Amino acid sequence: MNRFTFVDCTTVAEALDHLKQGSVAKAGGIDLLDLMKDGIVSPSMLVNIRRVKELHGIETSEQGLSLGPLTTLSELAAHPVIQKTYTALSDAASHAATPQIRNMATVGGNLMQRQRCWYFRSSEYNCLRKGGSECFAQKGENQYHAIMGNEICAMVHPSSTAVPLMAFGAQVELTSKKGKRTVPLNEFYIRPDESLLDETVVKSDELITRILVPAPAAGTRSAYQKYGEKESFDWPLADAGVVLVMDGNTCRSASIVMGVAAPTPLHAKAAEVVLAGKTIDEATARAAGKAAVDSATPLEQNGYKVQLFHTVVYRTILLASGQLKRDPSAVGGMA
Amino acid sequence: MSEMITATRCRCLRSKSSYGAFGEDLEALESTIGATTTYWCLKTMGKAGPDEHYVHKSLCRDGRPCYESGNEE
Amino acid sequence: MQNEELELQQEKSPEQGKTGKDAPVHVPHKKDAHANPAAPPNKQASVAKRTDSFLYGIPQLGLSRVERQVPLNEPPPMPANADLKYLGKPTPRYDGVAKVTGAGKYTADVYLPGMLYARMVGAGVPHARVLAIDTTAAERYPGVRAVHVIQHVLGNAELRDPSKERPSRYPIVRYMGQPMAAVAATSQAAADEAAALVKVQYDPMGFVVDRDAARATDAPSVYPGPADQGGTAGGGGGPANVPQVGNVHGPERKNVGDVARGFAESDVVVEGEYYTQVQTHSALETHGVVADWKAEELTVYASTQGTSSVRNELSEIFKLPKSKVRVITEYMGGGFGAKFGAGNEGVVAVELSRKAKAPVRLMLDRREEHIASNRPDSHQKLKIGAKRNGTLTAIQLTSYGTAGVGTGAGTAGPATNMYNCPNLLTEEYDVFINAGPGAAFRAPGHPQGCFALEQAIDDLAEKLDLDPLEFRGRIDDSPARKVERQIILEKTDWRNRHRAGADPGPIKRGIGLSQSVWYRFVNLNSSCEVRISKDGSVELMSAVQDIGGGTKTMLAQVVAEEFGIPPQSVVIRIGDTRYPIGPDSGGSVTTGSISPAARNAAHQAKQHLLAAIAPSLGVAPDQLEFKDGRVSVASDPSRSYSLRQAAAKMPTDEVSARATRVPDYTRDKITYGGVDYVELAVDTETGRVHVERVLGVHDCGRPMNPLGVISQINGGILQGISYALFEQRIMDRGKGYMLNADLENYKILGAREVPQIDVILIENYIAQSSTDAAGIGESAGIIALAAAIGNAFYNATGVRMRRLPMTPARVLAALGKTDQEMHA
Repeated sequence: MNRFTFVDCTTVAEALDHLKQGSVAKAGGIDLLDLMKDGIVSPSMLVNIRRVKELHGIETSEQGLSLGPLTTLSELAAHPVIQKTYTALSDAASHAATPQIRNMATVGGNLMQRQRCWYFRSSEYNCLRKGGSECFAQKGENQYHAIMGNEICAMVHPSSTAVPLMAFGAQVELTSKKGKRTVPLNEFYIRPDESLLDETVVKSDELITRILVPAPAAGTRSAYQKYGEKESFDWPLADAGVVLVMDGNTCRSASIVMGVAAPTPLHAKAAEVVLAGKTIDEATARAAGKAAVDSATPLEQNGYKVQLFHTVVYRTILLASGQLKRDPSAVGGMA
Repeated sequence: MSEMITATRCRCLRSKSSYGAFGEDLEALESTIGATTTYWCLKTMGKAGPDEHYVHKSLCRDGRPCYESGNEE
Repeated sequence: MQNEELELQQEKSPEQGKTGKDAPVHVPHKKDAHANPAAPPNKQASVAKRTDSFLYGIPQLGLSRVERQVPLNEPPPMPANADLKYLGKPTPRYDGVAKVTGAGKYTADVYLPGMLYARMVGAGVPHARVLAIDTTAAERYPGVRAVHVIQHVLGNAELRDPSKERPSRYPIVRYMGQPMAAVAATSQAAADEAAALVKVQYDPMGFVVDRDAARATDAPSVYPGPADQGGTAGGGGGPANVPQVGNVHGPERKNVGDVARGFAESDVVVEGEYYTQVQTHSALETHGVVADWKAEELTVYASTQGTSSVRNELSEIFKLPKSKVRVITEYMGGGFGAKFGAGNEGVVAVELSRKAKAPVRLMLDRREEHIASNRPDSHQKLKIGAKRNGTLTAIQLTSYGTAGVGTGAGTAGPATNMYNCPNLLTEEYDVFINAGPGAAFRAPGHPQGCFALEQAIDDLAEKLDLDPLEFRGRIDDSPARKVERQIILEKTDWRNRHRAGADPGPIKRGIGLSQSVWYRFVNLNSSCEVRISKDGSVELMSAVQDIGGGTKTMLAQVVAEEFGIPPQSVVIRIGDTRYPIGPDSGGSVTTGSISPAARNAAHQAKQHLLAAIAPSLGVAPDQLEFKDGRVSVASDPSRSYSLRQAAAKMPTDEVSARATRVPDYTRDKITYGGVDYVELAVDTETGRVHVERVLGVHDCGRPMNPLGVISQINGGILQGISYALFEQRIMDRGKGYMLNADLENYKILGAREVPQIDVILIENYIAQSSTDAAGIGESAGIIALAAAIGNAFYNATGVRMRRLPMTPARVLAALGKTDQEMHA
């Protein structure tokens, strides 16, 4: 039986006392409990941090956003400053999972959730990520898998909030008993070619204590869009976060991140280059969408995701620039 | 007719139609809706009979080694 | 015998077509008088009869009257819904509050003193001989009270092919998750843990989980050996031995007329292939029972569609008299066809209870539920010929489908029964694969068959340059569907729909429709007792279960109508085999079967009441009349009593009556149906399909509780959309494992996928029973929605969707946006 001890903490210091190899921090418990029930992880200790007050709260200032990692997705989605200034983030938070899950799920946990792959998430398969010698998705059922960076392991990272946070250039503050360090979200996730056994840079004795989003430059506009097979409670097949720094109709710079295209959230650098210095219109947006998927290497069953990313990138650019009021395929019927 | 046909089926052959889903005219009505009947065997509660072959109205009849007559003696 | 049966089948289709041709509504099936020459035309022929005049037909086409011979103790004919007080009126669910507050106890809510919890052990490989099963560790696990291993019950049976099937103590494993053993313990956690400790030693065999791959001659055999041991020559009726070649069983063939001649006579032919997926039942409540074995009686609380079927099987298997088996289903969380009989888990739970000498609860977990049953998939080739004047000349259907390790993947129902066509050839094949078994699932075969047929009919209309709705009017003789099509014409913008693919942008809108067909079946194992107590309270008892359709509510309305008292004041006690036997709920039989028994019992109880109180009122019973909830003396209306006052005059504390369903008044072949209309939008750049509006127009005899009927149709429409767009079983071809046996990756429509739904019911009086009621479960949208969505998709895009579900992957493939084809 998966026997474990449960430690209830009220301060970061107390939590850090317990965080070590074999123990794991539990916030909302959404992904962790699934992984435990499915026999994928068996921590010897759960360190409950839900009641650690200092890890809650949203602070806004001229420097930007400082998010307590225990901020729930519902709180992110409902925050007026985030809705106005960091629109892509509130959009992403409001489209994850279900209302019930968003009330429990935290932004820190959303970043820390494990990747999606039904081979990884079934105890029937001892895949590369679990120390096995095979990626079952490569020749198996791979319709939901990665279309980029998928040569070794084709899992996808489904964090909805990682996509806009990365596009906004967010940083993650990690604290251990040795001290604090800050890691750009860009460098937070570890690609399969770097390591198969670590998915993030977070060490077993570290805790996410803050998520910092720099204040956007003047003229910044952003948007996030997600396509699943259905709208109610579904994982994305494709999602994108777009942050544009606009000067009139001209795009000074673009930051575009694709969600479930690869084993980690991925900057669409080729698309960003297409937009820089250009007037945003449908043609440039489509050109950027095409550039975003130029390097795709789809597997046997997920070629359709190339088309989906092409679409989600171009439409999210138009949404961010304000030239599209809502995605025509969004909830509640098509425009 | 329906009673006579039913009698030639093994007493352990079951389907939804064993319980009146097609009313009285079992054979006629069963085929009306296409070959959609799923069967199970009361001896195994599965799709294979005790002889490890599949169960079906065309097979679960007199002559199959595991056949049991539905007629009370 | 065999010949006669073939003849009967051959004549079915054209005769069906003639129904209703020369009268505004149904006329007796012309073959009925000799349809079943070996059986008397009516088993109750010896019963004395009278002639009554019944309401007949559909209001929109004009109601008429028809005379019927009915048994003498039938109540008088029931007036139209408009003239009734409670029946035909929207009535809130009898147990709705109990259900939403949790007061209603489902099987999984049953807790008995000393109850144990069980967990099944499923096979860990898709195909293997079992060499050994070691339960030692499980038995030693703390809290474990019993372990049961499913053994080979060879009995007097011999193996088919001893060279390939070495005798074993254990059955051959043919799919991953196949039940092998079970453990009962003092907690669910202990049972789960102990079940994982059961060690099975396998001798693996080759397997196949893909329907197409299974058809190959060199595919691993799910069932080895030629099918040469079937019925002996001259063994009586039943279908001829169906061939088996490798994993392919079939064809089961129906042949009417001569399709070759029909196609030769046609001016236009459409031909197409269609693929549908495996859909799992995914009832909210999984399969399961609480079994309590005691020397004096076996009591089983079961999540079942048929209390009687569970009792029947447990009695047979455990060699118990039925009188000592009690089955209870007070609340039921959905079955959709998968819950008939005791089930493997039911038998195992009883075994465990007997061993442990304690009650045992065994509910399948969600993974087991997904594997236990499904709607088979299909690959259909359909060819239809027609003349320029819009009459059909030939229909030819060949279908291959897999019900996993079982049979039943046929799809020919709609092609056989919907339209008037003189030449028909259907050939249905089952393909065995190493995957969980098919089971009946809401209109077996019909959503699949309709997906092909109704899209082909639209294609044919286009080739004939006819409006698809008008074309259906030419080939469909059903008066009900005629009215339903007319209502759709009136309530929608059908006439102004654009040509296929007319929208210029990436978002394309379309409208489409499809028809459905289902059949009237009646189960005579339908009895009710109605009891009147001296305090005027009224209760009804029957073993019939309410699987969620609202049977309790409907029965309360029937009794209420008869007594003239509000339905809420009638107590309904059902779902317990201690009460008079009830029909099992399948094939949409429940309401049509049980409601006449309920009315007749209520009517007879009322007569008993009048007879009982007549002496104290000093009149003969026939001078008393019961109207609007009051008993009056006919000759002296001032002497009028409420039910309560009248009952108080009874000399004894209680009167009661019990009635059993009598056969339908005639042997007409009667079908039900509906026409479902869909508006949708297709995003051609994401492949997403949004259903925006559905209008369903349906018939089910006399609608008893429009609220309940519409609720079932809403559910059927939603299940149909879910089938069309989202649901699919995904098997790993590498390991034979179902990858999405959960409710996260097995995708079921949710709140945001629900379109605007409007449902219109038509009344269709058929003069067949004392209530004229019929069921709606099967023809409630599930049959037609995928086809209607397919037709609307075509209208939107100009592209025919031939594969389900219509996920972005398949839609983008169909639209040519990706060169990969998803196999279904």
